[in-house]
Amino acid sequence: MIHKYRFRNTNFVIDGNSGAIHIVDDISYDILDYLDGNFFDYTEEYIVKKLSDKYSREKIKEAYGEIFKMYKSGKLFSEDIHESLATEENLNSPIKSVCLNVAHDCNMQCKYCFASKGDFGCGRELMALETAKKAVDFVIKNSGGIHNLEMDFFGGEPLMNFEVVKETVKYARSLEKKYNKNFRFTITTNGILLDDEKIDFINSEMFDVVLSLDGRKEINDKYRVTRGGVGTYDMVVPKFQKLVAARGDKSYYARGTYTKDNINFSDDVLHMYSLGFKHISMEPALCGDKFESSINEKYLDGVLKEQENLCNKLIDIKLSGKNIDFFNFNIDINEGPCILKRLKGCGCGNDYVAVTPNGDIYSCHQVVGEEKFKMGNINENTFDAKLKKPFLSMTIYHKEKCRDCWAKFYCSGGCAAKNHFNCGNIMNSYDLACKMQKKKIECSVAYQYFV
Amino acid sequence: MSKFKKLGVDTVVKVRNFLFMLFVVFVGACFCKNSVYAVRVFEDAGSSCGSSKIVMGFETKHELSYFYSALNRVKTILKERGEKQPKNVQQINSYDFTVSDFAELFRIHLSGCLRGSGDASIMEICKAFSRIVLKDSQSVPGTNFAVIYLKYDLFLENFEKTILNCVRESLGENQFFPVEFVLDLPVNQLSPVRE
Repeated sequence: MIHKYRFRNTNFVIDGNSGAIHIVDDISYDILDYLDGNFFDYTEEYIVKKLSDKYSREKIKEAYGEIFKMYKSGKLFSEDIHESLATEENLNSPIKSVCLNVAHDCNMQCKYCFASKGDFGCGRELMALETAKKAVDFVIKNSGGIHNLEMDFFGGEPLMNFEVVKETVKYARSLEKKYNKNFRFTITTNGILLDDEKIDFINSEMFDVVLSLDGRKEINDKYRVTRGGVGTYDMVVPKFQKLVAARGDKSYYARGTYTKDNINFSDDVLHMYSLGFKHISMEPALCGDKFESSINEKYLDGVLKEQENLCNKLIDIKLSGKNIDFFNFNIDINEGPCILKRLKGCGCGNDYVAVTPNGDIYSCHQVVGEEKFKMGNINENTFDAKLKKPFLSMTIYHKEKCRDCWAKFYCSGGCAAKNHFNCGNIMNSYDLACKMQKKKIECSVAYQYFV
Repeated sequence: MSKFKKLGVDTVVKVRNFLFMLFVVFVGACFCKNSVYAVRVFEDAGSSCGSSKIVMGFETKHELSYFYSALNRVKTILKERGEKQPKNVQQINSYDFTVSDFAELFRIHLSGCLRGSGDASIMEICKAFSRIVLKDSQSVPGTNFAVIYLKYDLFLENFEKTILNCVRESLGENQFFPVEFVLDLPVNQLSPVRE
């Protein structure tokens, strides 16, 4: 199946099954309206007849010939040849990533927080070092021959349990040689507790760091507040800037959330850029009816337009020779993930799990507290691998709405947690998220092309 | 009437061809008896998605020359393709190599070196690969080794399990001369590339 769209007066055509992306002229763009992947002897004449008012016969035949050639070479209307790979045997993977919720507590009270202000509705609790160490042992034991393992310190606010973070890193490093593993640590922080010691530690040990900030002061401070209700912009921005300045070339992202109150979120992205952050990401608050601030269908048109607006602004920045990296538009149009990764998506409940302070293992950090997604407990040494099954069957071929979607190899079926919370089932697709995701893919492809 | 005429010319030709074939088999078997076609897979550090460096060892210059002729042919095909850019439809992304390029490369190479490996089996092997990146490929000076860079779409465990088994089965069942595929590293060391 193909998908076509216009961006900056340029005609893009994406052939979903092959991944081929084409820039076509207007006549070819129009011809594609009359093609559905079935080419017959009379097709060419049919199209000539349909478009003869607009283009000459010769021009139509020439463009049609090129489209037909692309079709024959498997780059337009190509067949989907990957379904046979979507087997449990192929997709079942050892565990390689763990989200370690070292703190089910937070020193902030962000109004859109999916984690119930940090405790995930399970009560405020910090992870004991012994539990964290067992989580390290767990991932080593269950990672098979995988060398690079990922551990994300998450919360709540993980720096509220900084000693455990430090000791966990030390413990994991002590096992790397013995088990031939390499840990890549990431931390997601709101920045409140950052000081020189923590900045040094993060910059030396963390492969990646996510700095939570929503952009402009008035936007950030509306939602990202302390427990006393005070805006946090002035508290955290200088600390983030200090961390980034000392970080060198190592990866980081200033990560924002946009709500119905800043549909013009491109201004927030550019504001973060003006603060000196070169690596930025921005995600929508998609919490359904849970929060009043959540993006819903009513705001969809505005969000889609703003995605294009942001894309145009970023292209202009890049073309002016400046450096900016917007995570959400990062897409590798030449290679990208291997086909199995595209089939299985984020790997939740399969190669990725979350561990809570009391040792419970969940299929993903977003479903912590949902009993049906609990897979075991680190402290009790239980892990029911059979509970992987629903996640192994969660491929784009198993989801009705995804099977024939042009974007399926880019989004891999979307976020299971969002599907669960908004549609009641991980196998359903959340339409609102789908529409936004498709626009994001369009923008990403265009961005990569123009820059 | 001579004995040859009594036997008939056709029979004489058949006998001659048969003896010649036996000679070819004998010489070929002697020549290739020790020919080991080695495939060694190493982890390509930094790869996040199944990229791997594969070192292909060629025991004879004859094998190496077959490989390079195949390589050059594919390069020529790609060059010609690049020169014929369509006017109305322009593809903006492309792989260095497509599956069919790789299939062609292996078909030529294997059929040259190994004589008649079943095309169907080779296609199965090639299906498992998404693309081959040859721009960094090079010969190792002073040896008969060539280093090629491959990227493939299957996890390496599956690579080991399905592809090399497929190769072995294919060769075992269809090959005229004994040829052995050697995987130097144990499976658990290959696994990192799965990530």
